[in-house]
Amino acid sequence: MTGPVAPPSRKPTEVVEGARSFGLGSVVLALLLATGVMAVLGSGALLDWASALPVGPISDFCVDLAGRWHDFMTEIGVARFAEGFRKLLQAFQAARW
Amino acid sequence: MLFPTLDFGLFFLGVFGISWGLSGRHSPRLLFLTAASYGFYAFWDWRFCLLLFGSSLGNWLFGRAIHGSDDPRQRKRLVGWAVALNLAVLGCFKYFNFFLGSLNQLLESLGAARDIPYLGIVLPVGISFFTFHGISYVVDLYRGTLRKPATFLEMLLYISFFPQLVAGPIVRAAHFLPQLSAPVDRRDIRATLALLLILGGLFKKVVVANYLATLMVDKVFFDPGAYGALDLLFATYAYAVQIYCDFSAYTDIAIGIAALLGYRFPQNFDQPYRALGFRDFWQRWHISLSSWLRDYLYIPLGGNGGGAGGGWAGARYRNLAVTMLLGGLWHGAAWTFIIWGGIHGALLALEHGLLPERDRMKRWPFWAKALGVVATFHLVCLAWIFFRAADLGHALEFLAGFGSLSRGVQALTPFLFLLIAGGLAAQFLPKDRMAMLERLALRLPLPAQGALVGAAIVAIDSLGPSGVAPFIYFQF
Repeated sequence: MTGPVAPPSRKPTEVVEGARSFGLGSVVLALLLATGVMAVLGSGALLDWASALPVGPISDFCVDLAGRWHDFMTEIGVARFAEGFRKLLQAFQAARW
Repeated sequence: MLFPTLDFGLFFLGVFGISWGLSGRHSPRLLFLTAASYGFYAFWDWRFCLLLFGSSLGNWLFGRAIHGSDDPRQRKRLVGWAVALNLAVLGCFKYFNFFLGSLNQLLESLGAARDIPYLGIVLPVGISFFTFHGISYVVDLYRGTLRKPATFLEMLLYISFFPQLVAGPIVRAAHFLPQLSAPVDRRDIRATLALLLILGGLFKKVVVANYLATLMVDKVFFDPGAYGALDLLFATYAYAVQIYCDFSAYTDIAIGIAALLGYRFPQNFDQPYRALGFRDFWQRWHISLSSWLRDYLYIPLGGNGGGAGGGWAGARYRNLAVTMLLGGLWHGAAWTFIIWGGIHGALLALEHGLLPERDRMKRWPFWAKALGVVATFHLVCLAWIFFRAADLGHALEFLAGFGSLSRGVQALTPFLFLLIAGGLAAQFLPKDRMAMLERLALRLPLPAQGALVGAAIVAIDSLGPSGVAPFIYFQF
């Protein structure tokens, strides 16, 4: 039943219309790899996050684990990835006319 | 729990895994997504989960009554009550203190001051959005655009679905409920585009919007009297870019997350600053709100014609003005938002009056179109000053500052200039840029895309300032 004030029916544009579909298995693998890469390259951010958790036995464990992970990543030089980006931007930010 | 945080990332990974694990079982999956959405909302304030539940229950009961009735008058009465109740709840939370304050001021100016006490009403996050979803449900059922009422579980999830719960896009019941009724397909996840949308959204929010806000917009709008004309001009441009990047980032991430969970959301932005005229602008900016206002307010008011009652020539302009004023008021209980809506309403009405044939504008010569785009953008920016200013006094001080040409540039740096210029230039990228990017990304297998996305997220996090400000539209 159509009411007296129904506007003309317009199907909204969907952003993902026509995009390539994947099966669940490949998507799960892609998300796992994304998470893994983030854990390796973003160990500093992981440590910051763990340090900001509410204090408790679980957070102590998380901070300890994240700290050791970050130390290891720094030791092998991977943590420099994020730091390099940050320094590059800071240099540009400091520029004046 | 904000999108660009590790908390949300972990939450999403959990929801993704469990919801797809339940993909063969329809009702348990919906139940799990509903529970996750309520958990997401409870992060702000668990007490408002009751409001969310009440809104869902009320609209669901009205929907059943509307669908079950064959009497057109009763159906009309029911939908009227449902809309009125939704608006009453919204008005109570959002506007009560504003009207109380205005009444206090009015009585004071009339010399009849009364000490009317304010109520300590806290605005629930996303109340406007879930109210609009509730109204969309009952009205779509009344109009017949939604053919069958939702089950209670579908209704709970439609109102609370976490990607769009706090800041949209506004998803119509007739568009989204059929998706909830159908089983999800494990072979149909639009992952590449979804990941690109999420990445683009993170960059726009974490880098562009956050830097523009912290390094320029907040400072200049806080004390506009301390800056010269050039800084004020660029702060206005900066805010135009900031609000676009902030809000479109939220909706891009929401669309991407929904797509990874197997659902499709409507487009909400389409390069709004390349709009030629205000009709064009409102078909590109916050599309889900502007089309909602068109279909649920402007058309019932009479739309472009004189309405059911007659053919008064000024009706179209009145309807435009009313729609945009209410659109402004929807953003917040403040005169600055009403003025913002008033400016847009007046300019829309003017455009309808002077240029009734919209297609003719598209046939203008290039230089005229370019001039039209620049003029539209600057008028939009003028309205943004009212939208962003803390109050009317600050807005007027900001505008008065455009006269102080002698002061040099203090706030604008090459870095900020690049962000503003880049943000505006991006408005003129090809319309099919996302499809082009997707084609480029598809040269790599999906797992490799995932690894690159992980690296890109770390890079974006490193580039952004420390901490993430809430999205601007959370307050609406």
